[in-house]
Amino acid sequence: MDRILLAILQKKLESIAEEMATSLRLTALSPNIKERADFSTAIFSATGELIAQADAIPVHLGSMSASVVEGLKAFKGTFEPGDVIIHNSPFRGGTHLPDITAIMPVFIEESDRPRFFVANRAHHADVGGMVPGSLPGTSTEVFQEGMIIPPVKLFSGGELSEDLLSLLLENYRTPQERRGDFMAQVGANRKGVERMQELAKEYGTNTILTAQKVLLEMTENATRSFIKSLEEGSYEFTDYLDSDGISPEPIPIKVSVHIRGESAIVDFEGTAPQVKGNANAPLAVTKSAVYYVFRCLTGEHVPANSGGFRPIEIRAPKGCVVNPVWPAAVSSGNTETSQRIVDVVFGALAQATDIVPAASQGTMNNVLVGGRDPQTQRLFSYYETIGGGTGATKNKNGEDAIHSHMTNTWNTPIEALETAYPIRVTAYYVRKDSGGRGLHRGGDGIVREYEFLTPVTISLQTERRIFSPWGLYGGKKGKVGRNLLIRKNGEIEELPGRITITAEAGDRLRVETPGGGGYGKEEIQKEKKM
Amino acid sequence: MDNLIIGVDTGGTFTDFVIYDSKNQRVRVLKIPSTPENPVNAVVEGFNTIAEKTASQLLIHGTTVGTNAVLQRKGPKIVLLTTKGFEDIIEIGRQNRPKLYALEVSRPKPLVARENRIGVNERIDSRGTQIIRLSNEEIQRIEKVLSNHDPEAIAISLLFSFKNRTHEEILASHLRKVFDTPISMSCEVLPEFREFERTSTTVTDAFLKPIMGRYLADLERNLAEHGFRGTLSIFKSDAGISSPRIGTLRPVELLLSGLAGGLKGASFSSKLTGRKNLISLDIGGTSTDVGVLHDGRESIRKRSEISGIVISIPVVDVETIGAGGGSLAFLKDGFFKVGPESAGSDPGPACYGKGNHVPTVTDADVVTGRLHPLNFAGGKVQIYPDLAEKAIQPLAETLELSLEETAEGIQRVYRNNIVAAMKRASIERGYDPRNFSLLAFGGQGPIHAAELGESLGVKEIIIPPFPGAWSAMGLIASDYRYEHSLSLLTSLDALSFNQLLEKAMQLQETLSLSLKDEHISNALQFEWYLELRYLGQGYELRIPWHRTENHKIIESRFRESHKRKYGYVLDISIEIVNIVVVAVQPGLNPKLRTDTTISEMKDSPISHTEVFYQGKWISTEITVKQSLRPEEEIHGPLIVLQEDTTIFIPPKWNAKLDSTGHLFLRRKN
Repeated sequence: MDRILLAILQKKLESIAEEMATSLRLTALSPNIKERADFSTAIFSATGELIAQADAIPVHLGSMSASVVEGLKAFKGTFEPGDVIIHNSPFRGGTHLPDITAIMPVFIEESDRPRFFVANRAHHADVGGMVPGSLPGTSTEVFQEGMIIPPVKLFSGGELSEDLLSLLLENYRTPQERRGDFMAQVGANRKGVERMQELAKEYGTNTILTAQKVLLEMTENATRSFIKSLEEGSYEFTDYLDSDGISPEPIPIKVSVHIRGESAIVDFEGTAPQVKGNANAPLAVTKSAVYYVFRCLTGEHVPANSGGFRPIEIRAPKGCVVNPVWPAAVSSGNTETSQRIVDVVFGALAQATDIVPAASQGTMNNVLVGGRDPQTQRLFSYYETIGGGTGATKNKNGEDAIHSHMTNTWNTPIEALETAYPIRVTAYYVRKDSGGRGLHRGGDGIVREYEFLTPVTISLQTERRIFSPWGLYGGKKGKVGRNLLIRKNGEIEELPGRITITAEAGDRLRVETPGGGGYGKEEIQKEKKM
Repeated sequence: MDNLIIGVDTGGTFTDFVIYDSKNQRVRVLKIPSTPENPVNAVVEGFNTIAEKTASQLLIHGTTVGTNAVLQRKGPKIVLLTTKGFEDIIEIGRQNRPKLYALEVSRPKPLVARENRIGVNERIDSRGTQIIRLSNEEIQRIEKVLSNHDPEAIAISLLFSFKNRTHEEILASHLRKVFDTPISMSCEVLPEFREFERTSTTVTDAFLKPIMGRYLADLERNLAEHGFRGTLSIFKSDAGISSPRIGTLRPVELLLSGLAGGLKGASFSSKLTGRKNLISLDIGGTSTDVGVLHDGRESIRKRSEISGIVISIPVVDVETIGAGGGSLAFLKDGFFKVGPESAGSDPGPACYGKGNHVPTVTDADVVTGRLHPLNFAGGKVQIYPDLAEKAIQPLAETLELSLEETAEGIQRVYRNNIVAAMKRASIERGYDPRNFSLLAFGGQGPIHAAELGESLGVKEIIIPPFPGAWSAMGLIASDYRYEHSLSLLTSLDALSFNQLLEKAMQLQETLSLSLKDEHISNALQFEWYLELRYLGQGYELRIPWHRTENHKIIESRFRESHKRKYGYVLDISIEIVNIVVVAVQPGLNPKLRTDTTISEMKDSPISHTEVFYQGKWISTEITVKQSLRPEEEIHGPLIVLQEDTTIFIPPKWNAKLDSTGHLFLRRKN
C-alpha cells in the first residue's frame, strides 16, 4: 500500500477514535470521565488487535486490547449488528472494577461476521463494594471492590437487556448516574461503528484491512528497530512497594529485560507472590505499564497499536503480585503498582540506554475523605490524587509538581473543593528541594494540607513513603513522601503510606509527595559552571 | 464629513490594511511588511500611504504585540501577591502534563518567577468570611517586601476574592499610594471561581499592562502626529472592539485577538451573502484556524491556552492546527507526515531559496502547477520551482513515485489533516456540515478550497473578495463589546428572582460605570447571560437571560441547551456559576460592491498553465479576479489570480461571483 493512502487512512482511523472520545466525554455523567478524562476509546481488528486509539490514559494502552480479546473469546462467532458487550473482570483483561469496557462489533454491509470492533473503557464513579467510589484502602478480596461483570451482552442485536441492566444498577450506589454512563459508552461506540462503516464504504473494506496490516507491521518494525539500537544483554532491576497496607512487609518487584536482537523479553520472575491487600496488579495492567515504557522510548511519531506489542514478550508467574489470580484484591494495582512496574522496567533499560529518565514520584497519592456534612447532614466522599516530581533526564531537570507515567488526571480547584465539602485546604505549594540532586535535578513534589471542619474518615493509598525514587548515573534519590496527621492540639502523627483513620474537626492532614530522582553527578554541573 | 474606515491587522509577516470608503463603498487592501521591533512603524507607514488619510473616521487595530510578548516571555518584571501557602498555584496549574508519552516531561514556565511570588497572611473562606483578617502590620510588611522587588506591575490574586473582594481592594489601595506601577486585581479581572485560572489570567493581565499601555499610547501619538483625527479602536479576543484604554485597563482581553479576526471576517461575509451558517477556514503559512458561525453568531469559549499560559476570558471558539503553506512533509520510520512542523515564512518553503531544503505544501503546490512563479503573491515574491522539485525529489525516490505524484500526495495528506480539524470544529460540536457553507480564506485557503469543502460535505464553497486580508476586513465590521461577570456558585433555587435581578443590575451598573470614559454613545445595548450547570458538574453552559424571565424559564432554557449540547437532561438541581453582563454598541455596518473594489492586478501574465490533478496533467486556463463579471458562470479547470491569493477551481466545478465580490464554487451535477 502506498504511504500516502496509508497516512490518510491512519489519520482517519485516529479521528474516528477521537470522535468517539469527544462523544463519550460530552455525554458521560461521572466526573471521572467528564473532567478527569479517565477513559479511552479505540478501534480493533476482527481478532482484537488494537488499530488506533485516542490519546488517553496510559494504563489503558495495552489492557484494552486484552479486554477486547476476552470479550471475543466469550462470544465466539455469535455476534450480531447492534450487540454491545460489557465487562470489567480484572482476571480477564480488566484493570480494576470501576473501569468498565464496552465493545461493539462493526459489520460492513452484508458481511456475516464482524470485520472490526470498536470499544471504550470508562472509569465509573461507583460500582458497589465496601466503600463509595469502589476504591477501598483495605480490601483483601476483589468482591469488596464492587461487582464483577464477566463478558455479557448489554445489548443483543440492538435490544437492551433490561434484566441485566437492572441487576447491575441494583448493586450500585448511584444507579441513575451509572445508567447515564453506560448509555454514553454505547453512544460513543455506535458513533464509531457508523464512522467505520462510512470509511469502508468510501475506501473498500479490503483497503482498510490492508492499511490495518501495514500500520501494525510498520509500528512493529519501528519498535524492533528501537530495540535493536539497544545493547544486547540481560538487565535486571528490583524495586519495592512499601507495603500492601495489610502487612508492613515491603513487596519486591523484580524484572529481567532480555534484549535479543530485535525482540525483548520482559520477565517478572522473582517478583513477590500476590499479596493479601489490594496492591495486586492484574496482568493487563502489567502489560500496559511495560508497553507504556516502550512507547515512550520509541517516540510519539509511531502510532499506538498492537504492532508495538509484538516484539515484546511479557512473562509473569501466575499468582505473583503482577499477575494475581482470582479472587485477589486489585484496586490499587492499577494506580500504585502500575507506577512501580514502570520504574523497574525503566530501571532495567537504563543499563542499556542513557535516554531513560530517573524515577518519578512513583505514586498517585490517592486521598479519600468521607464523613457527614454538618450543613446538609448528607454523607459525602471526596477523592483526589496528587502530583509529584518527575525524574531528571539526560538533557533536562525533572518537572515539579505534576502527574507522571500511568496517570494524568487534573486536580480539583481549591475553591470548588471548599464550596462542596466541609474541608479547607490550608497549604498547596511545591515541596522545595525534594527532587534528587544531580547534573540534572529531579522535579520537586507537592505539599498539600487539609483541615477538616467536621469529623471524617481518611483513607490513604500512597507509595514511596519508605523506598525513594532512584536517581541515575550518580544522580541522587528524590525525597520520599510523608503523610502527617496534625491534631488540633498540635500533636503530629506520621501516618503510614496506606491507612484508614478517623480525624476530628480541626485536625489537619498534610501530604508531602515524593520528588523525582536526579540524573548524572552534581559535580559535573559544578565543573561546567566553572 | 470623514468617510474612511481603516482596519489594520498586524501579523507575523505582513501588516494588513483594509481601507473602506463609506461614501462610495470602495475598498482597498494594502500589505505592508511588519516591523516586529516596533510594530507601530508598519501601521504608520501604511497609514501614510493613504492619500485621504486625514478623512479617517475610525481606525480599528488588531495587534499581536501582547501575544508575542507572552510567546517569547519577554515582558516586565511582575510580582504576584497570593494567599500565604498558595504561592505556587500558578506553577502547579492543574497538575497534568501536556504530553502523555514524553520521556522529558516539561511544561512552560509561568509569567512570574518563584522569587517574585509573595504570600500574604490572610484567608477568606468559601462563604466569603474573613478567617484570617488582613492586618495593618501585614500590609506594611508587604509594602516593604515589594519595595525591594521594584516591580513594573503587580498582580493580586487571593483565594475566594470572587466571594469577598475586601482584602484585594485594601491591598491594592495601599499599594497604589506607594507604588506608581499598574496593578491587576483578580476580583476585577476575573471574579470567578477556580483559583488557578483566575490567578493565571490576572498575572497575564499585569504582565501585559506596561507593554500594551506603552504600545497603544505610542500608536495613538504617532498616528496623531501623522494626521489621524478619527477614533482609534482596538480589536479584542471576543471579536468585539474597545477604546485604547483597554491597554491599561484589561489588556488580557487582547491576547487572542489574532484568532477572532478571521471569524469576524466570516461574520461579515455572512451578513453580505445572507448565509447564516458558515464554517470559517483561515489557512495561512503555518497554521489553520477553523471556526463555526451558526445562525450568524460566533460561539465564545472561556478557557484558552497559549504556549502553556492559561487564560479564562471570552475568546471566539476556534480550532487551530499546524497546517499551512509552510508545513513540512517528511517520512519518519516509514510514516508519512505533513506538519505540524513548519518552515514558517523564514526560511519558508524550499522554493523561496532561503535555505530550507525540506519540501512544504507550497512546494507541492508549485510542482503541481497550482501556484505559478510568474504570479506568486501577485508577482511580488520571487520563487524558484527548481528548488521545490529538488526538495521533493528525495521523498519521491523513497516513495517510488513520480515527482508530481509525490507532490499531489503531500497535498492530499495536508488536506486530510485540515478536514479532520474541520470535523472537530463542526461535527464534534454538534453541527452538521451539510447545513453549512465553507468560507475559505487566508493566503492559502482558496488554493485547496474546493477539495476541502467537498471532503467535509458542505453545501457550497465561498471565497471572500480579499482572502489574504479578510481578517483585517473583519475588524471594520465589528461591534463594541464589553463583558463583566460575577461568580455566585450557589444553587439556583437558593436565590430569589429579585435577588438574581438585583445582582445582575449591580453588575450592569459597575459595567456602565467602567464605560463612562469610553466615548460611548447612547446606543449601548445590554445582554444578560447566566452560566449554569447541574450541581456537581465541572463545566457550565452559557444561556441568554432577560430580566422578565423567571426561574422556570431559566431552568427550561438550560435544559434545552444541555440537551442540544450533551444529548440528555438530568433530574438534579441547577447551580448558578456566573452572571454575565455584556454591553454592546453596534459598530458601522459596511456595505460592499464588487464593481468598485480596487485591485492593481488587471490581467494575468500568462493565459494557460498545466496543473497536475488526480494523477494527470490538465491544461488549465488562468484569469484574474478583476475580470470576472457578477453572476457570470465560469468553469473549471481554472485558476483565478488576485494579488493576495490564488483560487483553484478544479475540473467539473463551476464558480460564480456575486454582487458583493464573493465567489461561489459548486460541483457540477
